[in-house]
Amino acid sequence: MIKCPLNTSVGHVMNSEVKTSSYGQGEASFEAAGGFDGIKQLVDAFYDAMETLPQARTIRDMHSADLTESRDKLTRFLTGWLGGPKLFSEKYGPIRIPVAHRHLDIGPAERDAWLACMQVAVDAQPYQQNFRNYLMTQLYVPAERSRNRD
Amino acid sequence: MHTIALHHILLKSPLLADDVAKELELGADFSELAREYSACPSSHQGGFAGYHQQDELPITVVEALALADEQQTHIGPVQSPFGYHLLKPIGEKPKLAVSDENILSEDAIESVKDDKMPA
Repeated sequence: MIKCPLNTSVGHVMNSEVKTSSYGQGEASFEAAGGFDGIKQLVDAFYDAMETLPQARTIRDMHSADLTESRDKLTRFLTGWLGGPKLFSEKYGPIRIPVAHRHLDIGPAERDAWLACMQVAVDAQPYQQNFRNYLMTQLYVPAERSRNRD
Repeated sequence: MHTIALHHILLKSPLLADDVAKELELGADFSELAREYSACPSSHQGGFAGYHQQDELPITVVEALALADEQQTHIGPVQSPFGYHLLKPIGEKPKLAVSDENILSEDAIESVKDDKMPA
């Protein structure tokens, strides 16, 4: 029998704003993001930021010249990730974000550049400020998990 | 006392737990995620942490497993003193000592009353 590490306890103080909000429950985040159309608009703003932000040049070069498929993939992924229909797996099959990025060289600068693009895109959407904060907090996790070097 | 099989992924961060739960929701393999992220030694067995008496497990974990819908492929994150558990319900569910399910309905009580006492 394998025992859990009983000598450890949770030393983490939960972010009360994140944990007390309804975002993350059911389709609340999907709806707060404006549904599929809202997410598509967010993704378009994200890739537009990637085309223009100087610090995003490295991660832009990791993509194809034509971003059509990237836009479609991210829109579909975020739709399911935010609690909406699982559109990514319908078209492209199952995905694990860290695994999907293993072939790329992703360090803190690349992670932060990705998040900077997302911050620009999120700020441009007609979202509640607490949803913007929630979304950026949540998005940090897969961005950090995709980092594969220091 | 019930013995129940525990399959779980134990995470120390609520944010990581939420994100791994999202991946499960999107179709990722439970065992694979357990091997990669679980802080429990059961990670080496794809999250299978053996058989436990109910009272050996955190009450929140027992409750979550007991109340799980049959259709659920995973449950959680469920917080306990050890962290945040993502649970895979397999095998017999725990039985709670007191729960809504265990409280006899009025009809059931009436039918018990109608039974004749043994001679």
